[in-house]
Amino acid sequence: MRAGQREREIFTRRLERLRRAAECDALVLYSNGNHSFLEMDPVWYLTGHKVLGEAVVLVHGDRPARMLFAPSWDRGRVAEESAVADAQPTDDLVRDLARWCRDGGLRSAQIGVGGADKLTARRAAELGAAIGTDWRALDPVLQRAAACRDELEIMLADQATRIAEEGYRYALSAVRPGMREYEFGALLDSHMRELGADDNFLLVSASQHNLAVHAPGDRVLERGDIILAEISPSCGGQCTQICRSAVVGTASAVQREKFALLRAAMLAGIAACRPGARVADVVRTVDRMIGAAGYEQYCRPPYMRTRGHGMGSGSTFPGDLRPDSDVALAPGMLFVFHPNQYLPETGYLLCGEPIVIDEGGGRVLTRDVAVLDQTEGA
Amino acid sequence: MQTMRPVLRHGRSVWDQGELPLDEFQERAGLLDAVLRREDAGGAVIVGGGDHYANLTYLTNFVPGHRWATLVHCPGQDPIMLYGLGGGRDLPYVRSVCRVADVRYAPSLGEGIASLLAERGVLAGTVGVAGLENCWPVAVHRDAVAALGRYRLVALDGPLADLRRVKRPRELRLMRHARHIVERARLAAIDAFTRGASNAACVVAAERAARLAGAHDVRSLANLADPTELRPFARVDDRRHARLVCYLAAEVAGYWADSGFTHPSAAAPGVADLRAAVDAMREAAVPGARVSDLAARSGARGSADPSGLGLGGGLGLGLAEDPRVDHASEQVLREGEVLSLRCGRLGRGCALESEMIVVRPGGGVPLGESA
Repeated sequence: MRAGQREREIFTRRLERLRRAAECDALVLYSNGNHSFLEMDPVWYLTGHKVLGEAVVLVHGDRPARMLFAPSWDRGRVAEESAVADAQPTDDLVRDLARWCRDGGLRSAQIGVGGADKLTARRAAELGAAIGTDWRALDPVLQRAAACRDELEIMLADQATRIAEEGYRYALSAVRPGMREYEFGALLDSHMRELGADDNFLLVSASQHNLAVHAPGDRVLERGDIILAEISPSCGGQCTQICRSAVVGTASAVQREKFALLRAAMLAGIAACRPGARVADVVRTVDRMIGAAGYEQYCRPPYMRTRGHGMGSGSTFPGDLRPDSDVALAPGMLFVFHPNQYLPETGYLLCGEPIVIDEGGGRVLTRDVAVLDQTEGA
Repeated sequence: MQTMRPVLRHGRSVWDQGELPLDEFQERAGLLDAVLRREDAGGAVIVGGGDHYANLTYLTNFVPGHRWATLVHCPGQDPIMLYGLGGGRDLPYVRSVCRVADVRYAPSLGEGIASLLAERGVLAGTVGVAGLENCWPVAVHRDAVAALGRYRLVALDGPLADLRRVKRPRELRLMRHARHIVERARLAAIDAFTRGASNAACVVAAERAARLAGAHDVRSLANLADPTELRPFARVDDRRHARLVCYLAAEVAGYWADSGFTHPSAAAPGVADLRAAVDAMREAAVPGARVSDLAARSGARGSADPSGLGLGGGLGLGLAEDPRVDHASEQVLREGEVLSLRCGRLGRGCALESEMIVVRPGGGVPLGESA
């Protein structure tokens, strides 16, 4: 993300938000360079920069934030993208962080660590020695502080969603019986790269009777197969997701009927997504509708996992959309809503949209809500 | 080379039993059993995840997508693997791409491992472990180690890495296949450049070619926004520079191959010097040679190469395995290990050259030519 004036103001607000939430003398935000579709990266959140290797940001009181990053040869990209102006390359992150903490008089301070869930045991021990033993993991605190996404995050999610939809349309137009799953995935992925996606949590598979969606394999697509696609490109480090199902050939009446049930349940669930609504109640709206059609036993594992979830690299609040979640939805929360599940007549089906909670309710980011696509006779 | 890691490897994902039949994994399990005997250990707990999947994949063919997977191996008994986010819907698929038939989900990892060891009759004594400290997040590690408190845990990371350094014939076949995919990707990038594409579009063309050829994962760096430095692809960029400097890597079944190149090389000053440096390292790559001697042959001075990109090193079930080619390295080359040797320059005259070789008595043999 190239930081202009508007972006700099946004990052200043993010910094203030984290400072207030942390309630400690200093914050160390850590990223290990392993990016996740299901986790927050606090370094990305505060800098707008998607790191190549390990990085830390030190936030000490009211002083300007400072960043250490590796590898050192990535300095041009960091200088161009990071909202933290004082960003220094390092070949020994722990040593240099220890020096900063020592020079800043932080050895006896209370230090909160964001990204502690990315620390391996070995790294945690080394980091602990560098910053002093009085540190505590602040991941849940920071997740909550960043739960309501700002305009930049929504804009990036919007861009990524455009790419997801266009990529899917392109790949669908190219699919033919005889093509292999991984070839379909390759076309889908590379077209989204052409459109500017910086990453993709992509699962694509097909079967006459799917049990779940999974990574693409050698399976040759044939008429009657249902292609399942979880398409989750990232723009500027912010992920989105659309979930789509497409029949190779022409969909049967049963396939259309069962997909329509999931789609109606999804739309009912989205309609229930209002500020203040509890996630558990929204999930029950979906489960009730599908259960009333005779599929109550299929509204739980192993036939499905969750009705949706937050999406990295910012806060993944509200977390998984599960019947036991007591999270209350609030304006700015961003997540994918997907009543993806197995039905005995059709197998597993995917149907999901990214939504953001506005004051008036859930706003779908896609231009076209999922239908059961077919490669012939559409 | 440090590359941008994807949130999920999303290319071709299979267990190709023609290339890696069950007996290959039985042989590898036998090698692990020998290590366990030396350690007087009743079983092993092998964790793999992120870019640290090598030991797990070596024994299972499985490259974890989400987070990590944990293998419980007890000699003479069927292995068990723990994996997943819960719910169990993924498990039938995982079993289809994994040498392990018994794949389960455990909500509490430490307790799950302890109960599996007990199920296999390992109730106390020594257990070998690998990957616990560099795969699991600290909280998971703490809970799991506490749950395994009745055992004496012995680290197997070193012995297993040592075991994997010299490649087995089937590993060399897969790496040659991965190299073939990288070569197709390289040619696709050059073709796009020749047709007038931007440097970013060349990278996308290379990635598409690699994925269509069956790569499970693809990594790339190129001179995109700035002609003098290498970056990962991050956005549409119409800039086209006088030359394309690119690093490409492709993975098949966990095994990597890579290539660094400059195109057109004839128009790039200094490329011949970089190629000569790579060739000099290749010639010196004989069994028994000190890795530091290879670094010295590259012509680079000081403790590191001047570009900071590194001089390469071991490649296999990871993009950066031992040994790393470095002036300070004390390691010695072994016959049959695979190295990717690299020389690069950033700034004005940015360029990159590389070669994948197998260490042989007469000097390194290019991987594509090795029998």
